[in-house]
Amino acid sequence: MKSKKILLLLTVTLLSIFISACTGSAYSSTSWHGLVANTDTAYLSAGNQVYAIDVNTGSEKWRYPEKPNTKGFYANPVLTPDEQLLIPSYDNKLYSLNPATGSENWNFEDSSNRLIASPLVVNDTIYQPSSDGYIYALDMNGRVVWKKETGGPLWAQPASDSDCNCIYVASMDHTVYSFDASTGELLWHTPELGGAMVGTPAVGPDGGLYVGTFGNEMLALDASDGSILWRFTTDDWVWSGPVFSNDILYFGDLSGYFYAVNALDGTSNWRIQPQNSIVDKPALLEDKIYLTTEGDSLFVISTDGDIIDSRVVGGLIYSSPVITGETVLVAPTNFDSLLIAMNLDINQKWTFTPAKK
Amino acid sequence: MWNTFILSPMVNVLIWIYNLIFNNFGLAIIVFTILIRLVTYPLTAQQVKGQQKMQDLQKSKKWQEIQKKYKDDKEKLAQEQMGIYKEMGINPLGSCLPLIIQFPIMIGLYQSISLAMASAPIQLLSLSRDLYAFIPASVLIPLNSTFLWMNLGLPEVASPNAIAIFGFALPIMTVIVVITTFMQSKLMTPTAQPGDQGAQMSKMMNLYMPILMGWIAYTLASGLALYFVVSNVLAIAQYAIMGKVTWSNLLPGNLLPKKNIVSKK
Repeated sequence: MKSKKILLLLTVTLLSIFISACTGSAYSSTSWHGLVANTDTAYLSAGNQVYAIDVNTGSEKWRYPEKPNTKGFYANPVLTPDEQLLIPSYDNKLYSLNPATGSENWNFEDSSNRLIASPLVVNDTIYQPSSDGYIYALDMNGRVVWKKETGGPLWAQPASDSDCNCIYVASMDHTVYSFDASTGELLWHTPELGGAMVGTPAVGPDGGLYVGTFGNEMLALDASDGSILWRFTTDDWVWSGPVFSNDILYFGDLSGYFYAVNALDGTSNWRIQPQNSIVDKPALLEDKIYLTTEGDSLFVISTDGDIIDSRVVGGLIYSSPVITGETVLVAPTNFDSLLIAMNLDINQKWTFTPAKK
Repeated sequence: MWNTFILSPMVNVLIWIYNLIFNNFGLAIIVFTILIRLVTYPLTAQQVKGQQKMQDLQKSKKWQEIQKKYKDDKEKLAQEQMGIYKEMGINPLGSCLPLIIQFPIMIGLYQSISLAMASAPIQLLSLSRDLYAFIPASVLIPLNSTFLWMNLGLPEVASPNAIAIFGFALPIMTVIVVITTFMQSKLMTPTAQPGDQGAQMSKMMNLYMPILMGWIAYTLASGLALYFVVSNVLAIAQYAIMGKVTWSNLLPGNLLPKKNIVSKK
C-alpha cells in the first residue's frame, strides 16, 4: 500500500510538471529579440540575458545577468548620450547598465505590468511606456519626473518632436496621445482610430504624424492637434510604424505586403509581397531598403520596389535589421545563432552563438 | 492539428462570448465553462454510470469470492476479474476514459485563455492568425483582462490590483480553488466498502488533487483559476442533480483519510 501511495504522489507530481511544461511559464518565449548597435558593439536582448557582442569579430564582451533568470529581455535596448544602456524587462523593471562592462547602474520598478516597449530618450529625460497603461518620464538616474495614464497597454516606443517639445504615444486603446515633454500635460488625443497600435509613430518634417494600426490602416495625423489627414487601407494588421524617407513611407503588414506610400496624400507608389509576414520596420541605407520577414529571409529592395537581393538567414525573423557602419545585423528567433552579421552585400561575416557557461 | 481542432475553435468561441457579454473576459470564461460542461455532460454521465457499475460489482458476492479464492495468485485473480467485467459488460476504464478526454480540454482552455489575453507580442501575433473572419478583431483587441482584483492573463499574485497585506499579494483565488477541488473530491467519492483498496487510493487523491490544482492556479494565469472554481462548482451541481453527491463526506469526522478504514481480519 505504501508503494502505491508513493506511486500516486509521483504521478501527481509528474502531472503537475507536465501541465506546467505544456503551458509555459509567465516569461517563456513571449517575444522576439531586441537589438541596438554602435560601430563597436551590438547589444542583444535575447530573453533571459542581454549580450554585448563585438561588431567586428562577433565575440562576446559580456552578458547580463551572468546566469540566466526570468527577467525577460525582449525590447530593443537604448543607448543614451550619457553612456547608459537602457533595457526594459518583463519583470516590470527598466534596467540601466554600463555599456562597457554590463554592470547595473540602477533599475526603475514603479511599473505594475510588463515593459514591452523600448524607452525614448530626449534631452536628459527617459520616457518609458508600460503595459500598465502609464507613460513614465524619468530623469537619467531612474527617478520619476511625471507619469500619465492612457486607456490601454503601451507596447510602442514613443516618438518625439523638437518643434513642440512634446512626445507622441500610440496606445493599444486605439488612441494617439501627445504630452508636453517637460510637464506631462496632455496636449491632445485623437478619437478612436479603429485599431490598436504597437508601432512607433513616424514624425515627418511637414508636420505629419504617421502610424499603423490593427484596423488594417496606415494613418496620417496632424501632429499639432491629432486630426486625421488621410487613411490608407492595408491588407492586414500593420504591426510596426513606418519609416519616413523623402516624403515616402515604407512599411509592411502581417499578410506580407510591403508598401511605399506617398506621405503627402496617402496614395500608393507601389507594393510587393516578398514572403511571409512583415512584423518590424525596414532599415534604409541610401537608396536600398533592408527588410526582414517572418519566414527566414533578409531582402534588399530598391526604392522603386524591385527586389535586388535576398538571403536565407534561418529561424524566424521578426525584428528589424540593424545597420552599423558596413555591417547588417539580423537577430533571428528559434535559431541556434542569436545574431548574424553580414556586409552590405548581405554576405555573411560572422554568427554569434552564446557559449554555455 | 491541435490548433485547428481544439485551440482555434476554443479561442474564437471565447472571444465571441466576450463580445456578446459586455466585453468582460471573466464573465466570458464563466459562460464558456458552462458551455464546456454542457458539451461534456455525456462524458460525465458515462463516468458516473461507470463508477456506479464498478461499485455494484465490488459489492457482489461473486466478486468478493474470487478476491478470497485467488488472493495469493494475482495473475489468476486478474484473469477472473476480466472475465467478470466481460460477463457484466463493464469496461474497467469506462469511468477513467471520460476524465482522460477532459484533460486535453483543460489544456486547450488554458492555452485559449493565455492566447486570448495576448499579454505578449508572440501571443498577439498568434491570436491574429487564429481568429475567424466573423470576430471583429480590430475592434476588440486588446481584450479587457481585468476581472474583480485579477488580471486574468497573469498569475493572481502578479496582477496589478491583487489584494495585498503588508505588501504581499494574497492568493485568494488559489485558496478558493483548493477548497472547491477538495469539496468536489469529497462529495463525489462514494462511501467506501470495507477492504476496498481503491477507496484508500481515492482518499489519497482527495488530498493530492487540491494541492496540485492549487499549485497550477497559483503559478499560471488567474483566468485558469477562475475556470477551475466555476468548473468545480458546476461539477458538484451536476452530481447533485444526478443524486450522486455524498453530502455526509463533508461532516467533520469524514474530512481526512482514515488510516484504519481497511478492516483487518
